[in-house]
Amino acid sequence: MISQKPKTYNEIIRMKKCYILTQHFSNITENTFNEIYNFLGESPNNTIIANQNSLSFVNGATEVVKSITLTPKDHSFDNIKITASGVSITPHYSPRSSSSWSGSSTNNNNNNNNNNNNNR
Amino acid sequence: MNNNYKFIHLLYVPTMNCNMQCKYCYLKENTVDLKQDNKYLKTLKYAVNKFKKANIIPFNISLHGGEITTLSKKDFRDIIEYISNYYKDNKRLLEFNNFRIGEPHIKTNLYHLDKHIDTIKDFNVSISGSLDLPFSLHDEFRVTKGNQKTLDKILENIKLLENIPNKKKVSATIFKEHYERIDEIIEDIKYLEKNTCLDMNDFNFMIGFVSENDKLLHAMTEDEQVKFYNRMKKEFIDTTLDYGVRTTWFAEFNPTYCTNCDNCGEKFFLLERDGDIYSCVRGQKNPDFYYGNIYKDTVETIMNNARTKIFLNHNKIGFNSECLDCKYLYLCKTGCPFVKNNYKTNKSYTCKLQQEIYKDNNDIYKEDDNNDESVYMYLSKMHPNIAQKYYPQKNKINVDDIVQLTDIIKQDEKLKYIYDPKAFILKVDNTEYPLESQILKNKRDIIYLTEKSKITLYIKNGVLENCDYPVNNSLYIMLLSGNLVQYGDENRIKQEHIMTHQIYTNTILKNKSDKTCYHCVDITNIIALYYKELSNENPNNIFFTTSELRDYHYNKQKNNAYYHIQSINLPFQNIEFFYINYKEDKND
Repeated sequence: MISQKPKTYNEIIRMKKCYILTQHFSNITENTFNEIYNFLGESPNNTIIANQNSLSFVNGATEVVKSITLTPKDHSFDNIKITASGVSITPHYSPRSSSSWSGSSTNNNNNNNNNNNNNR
Repeated sequence: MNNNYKFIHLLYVPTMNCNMQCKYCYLKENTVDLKQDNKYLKTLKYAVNKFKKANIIPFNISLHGGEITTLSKKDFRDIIEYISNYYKDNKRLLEFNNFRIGEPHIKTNLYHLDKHIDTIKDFNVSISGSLDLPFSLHDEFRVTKGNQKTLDKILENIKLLENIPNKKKVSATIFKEHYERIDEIIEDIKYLEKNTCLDMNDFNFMIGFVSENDKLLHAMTEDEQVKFYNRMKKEFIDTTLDYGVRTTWFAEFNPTYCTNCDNCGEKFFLLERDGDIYSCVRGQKNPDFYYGNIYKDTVETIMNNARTKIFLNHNKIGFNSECLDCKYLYLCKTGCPFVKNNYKTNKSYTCKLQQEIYKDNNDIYKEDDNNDESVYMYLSKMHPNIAQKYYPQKNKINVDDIVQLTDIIKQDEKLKYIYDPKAFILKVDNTEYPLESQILKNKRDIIYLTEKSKITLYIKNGVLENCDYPVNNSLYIMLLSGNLVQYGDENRIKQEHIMTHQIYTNTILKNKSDKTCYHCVDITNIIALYYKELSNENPNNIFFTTSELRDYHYNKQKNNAYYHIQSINLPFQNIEFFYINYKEDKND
């Protein structure tokens, strides 16, 4: 999807972050992907923020410099934020009146507590 | 019936031409038609059909100017007849979707109403006229292009509506200059009520705003707006205009108006005869509120531009933190984006007045019981860059009669450590990530590690030592793959455990820490040992606690059912991550 091959760890990481968006939105074109990738590369303070219907390019002064409309693949999230330090995903909030807390992203319950480590 | 329709309010401006030249007109020099053509009806028809093919249905088509009555009799009649038939043809669809079927509606200065009175009667056209109150200012500001006064003729034209059943109302925009003649305004309202056929209970005030270059008129201050409102109430409550002053006169701020939308670009459109589409009369001719051209652009492009431009306009001026606690955000939605940008302020220019109106009508406009939720929902859509901070906290479990996890934690000194967001900090190269309990935090954080990453864990002083036998205690690291497996008697699908690693307290205390109040341990090589086991497709997970706290957590689960059901998933501080292998990834 990306027009230029990432050459450094930073570039590979940046590309991987952008791929997270393609998992959640159906209409990210090659051009959009490259635009996001390049915007994040322009400054470590630049941020990409997507909600359920749009993606915003936010500069270091927290100004939304551009916004594009997107189509989500699912409604599991309210917000995806990509920064230099990582990706942050806010799970979808279900209003109290209709349903309860949807819980964490992945089920990793470990309450079996069945290990046999005697050194504890 | 197809339920995938989207419904919009369409304001059609078939002509920019106006027969008057009001001294404060927002269209300024644009009130002339530079070229005549045959598109008066054609553009509306074309747009409605093109929208309909994209499943977008106008639930209301209203006519605006310029001045609509400057159209020829034939063009005016053709458009009105088309709208009348449109409502008939789409009655079932609109009513099925809970829209009330109206009559063709025009906004007019009333000056040439007589020219079209037959069409108005034949199609029961709903009239909304503009006047200046008091009348003394009408004659000063609302003049013809030849600078002639217009009030007498307009009042004569209103008489033409006397014996027809059409809806007929007027509205007046109030600036400081009008406000200063409030006694005259009151007298003129009484005059209109007594001497004309206008339904003055269906009258509207609009609160004027000015742009930087406007010199003629001045805006009322917010306090003056409230005083104006209170004076009207004092004068008209318990009179024949009681209903009007309580409801319709200041209805600009109730939920039926455009300002109640999160994003008005999803619902309100103004179409000009040349096919240009803008947000509304306020945004007309302004490139920041221009959505495209119905002849040249796809409906998808126009709709996307509309939503995006309104989003950007709201974000230019940001969100005002005062709106967080107001409890009327669900009604106000921070006001009109055009005016906010005009004034370079990030809340409604009629904020105080709106609050006053809402308080006076508490039975309809209640303070929001779920304000935190409304704030988050609004921010999530319109200001996603700050929304996360306002994620509602209360409803992790939606059962009122059980003790909430946060309260259980507060009451238990030991549990506090398990959930303490300052207990563990992961440092990757030069970036620190304070780790939070995954069941308390409202977001998932995903970071990226490579073979070159230096990974350090900081452990707050006391986390290891504050127990009966610190020497027996250990840092407890759990590494889970992003891949899922089925586990145990529950047959539950969970992240696959890769390794558990313990480092005893005394081993950690031997390390010299570069962070005050924290012990530190380098875990770079520990993670690297398992990178081949990690998932490349899904984020992997690493948890930190101590063996002592882990035991305490499971004992608490045994002893406290409320705690157990709210901490089913691992409660420990964690972060999700991908491990990037340069050699493998560069060849992808």
